[in-house]
Amino acid sequence: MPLATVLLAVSYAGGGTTGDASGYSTLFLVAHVGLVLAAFAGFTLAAALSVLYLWQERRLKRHEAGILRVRVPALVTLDDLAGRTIAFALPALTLGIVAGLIRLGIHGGGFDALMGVTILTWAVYGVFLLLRYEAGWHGRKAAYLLLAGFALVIAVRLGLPTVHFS
Amino acid sequence: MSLVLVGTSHRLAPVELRELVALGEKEAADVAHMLAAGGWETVCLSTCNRTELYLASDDAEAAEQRAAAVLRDLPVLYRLHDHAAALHLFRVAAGLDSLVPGEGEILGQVRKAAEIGAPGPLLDRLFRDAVHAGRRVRSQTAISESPASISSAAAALAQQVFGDLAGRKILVIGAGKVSEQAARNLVSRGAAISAVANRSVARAEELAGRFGARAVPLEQAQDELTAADVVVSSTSAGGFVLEQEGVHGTLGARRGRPLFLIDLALPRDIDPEAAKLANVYLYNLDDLAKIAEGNLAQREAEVARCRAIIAERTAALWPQIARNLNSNPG
Repeated sequence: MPLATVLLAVSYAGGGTTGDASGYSTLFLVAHVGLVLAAFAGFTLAAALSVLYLWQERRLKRHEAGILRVRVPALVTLDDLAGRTIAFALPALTLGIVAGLIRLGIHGGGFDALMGVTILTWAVYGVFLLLRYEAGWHGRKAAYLLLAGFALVIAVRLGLPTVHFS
Repeated sequence: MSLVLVGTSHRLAPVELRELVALGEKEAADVAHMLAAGGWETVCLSTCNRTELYLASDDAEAAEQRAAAVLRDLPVLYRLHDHAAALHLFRVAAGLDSLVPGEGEILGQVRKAAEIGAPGPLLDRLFRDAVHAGRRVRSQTAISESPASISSAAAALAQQVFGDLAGRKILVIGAGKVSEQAARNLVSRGAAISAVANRSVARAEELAGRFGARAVPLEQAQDELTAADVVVSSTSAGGFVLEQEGVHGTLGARRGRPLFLIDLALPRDIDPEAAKLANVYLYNLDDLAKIAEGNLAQREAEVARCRAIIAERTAALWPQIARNLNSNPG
């Protein structure tokens, strides 16, 4: 539902189709923006889960006396949820990037720095999933990697108005 | 009609006296029905910490004497009537009279006592109100949130790592009472003991047999680490049973699965350096005592709040119960 709302809003903002090739172009723009936004929402959620994981892990490692008074979800739950979130968000980003590239092909235009950072972001989360399922990366290292990926997400978001729309 | 309570608890009676009048579930039910045959509503509440008889009778004196006789006329019996008896039951149900204030088991025991006893309309209402008030205290205060014993603190910490303990495997090192108690606490939360390692394999087999686990010699404890999620160790070994290198050696095969180590031995069984390893959480006796003590202090602070709630509930409900007493003259 939130995704549908975003797509609808973007289609209104785009002013609908303007005929010939630009009809497809708008469709791919809507798909690109919607999917990338959905992926970014997932990365944000995963980053929040990672922060909570690192805080809880630190409390457990330090044997904090009040650890049982302020309860948060268990480490395994937080780690698992973060991993699952990425498993959904990364395919969304992949499709979003593909939609963007197709639109670029139809509409024309150059490759900008933001696209490079977005692909780097994709690579970081791709490496995360690969390490998780192939090398059993869980816990603190995995949480740090997700936060590194999220730093790139923030960079993309901040660079969006100046680089991508200019 | 009067409400009469005769009983004794850990507050007045040491264990040697309490065990004289301790009743199993069936015995408690038999006693209640035996007294009920005399025409009195009766509920018998018997736990490790207390044996109490609640009676509703038109002859309070006779009921009190009969109940005291059942409890062997011990010199440590308390005898309470009407409002004081109701207030006592409400406090018991809320866990305020328990050895560890706020422990949750008593609420179920109070409910069960009424189920298997012989309550009439009055005691049925009283016990239902007591259970309700007990639940209310637990939901409105933090009294039952934090475990206050070392074993329960260890189990609660394991839940902080794994969440639901169902399907989690425990390796018990040392087949003594201390490790068994801690393991039991974990088992009660869904975990299963997979192996028991002990110097004497015969003792390991004895404990393992009770939990459907495997018994292994102490030297093989290391080999069982990979499969385990939680390790409870309490041996009388002079040195470390688990070295940091040994724990480190299993991490690759664990593929990032956390390992929760509970060292209840003195001198310690597990190399403290193991705590520095990724995804390994090590708690020794002092760490657990610190957490349990902190929780106990917190519980005691909550007791005052609970007492106020219970007093308020009893004051609100007692007039209705008293009306029932007066409208049931025999």
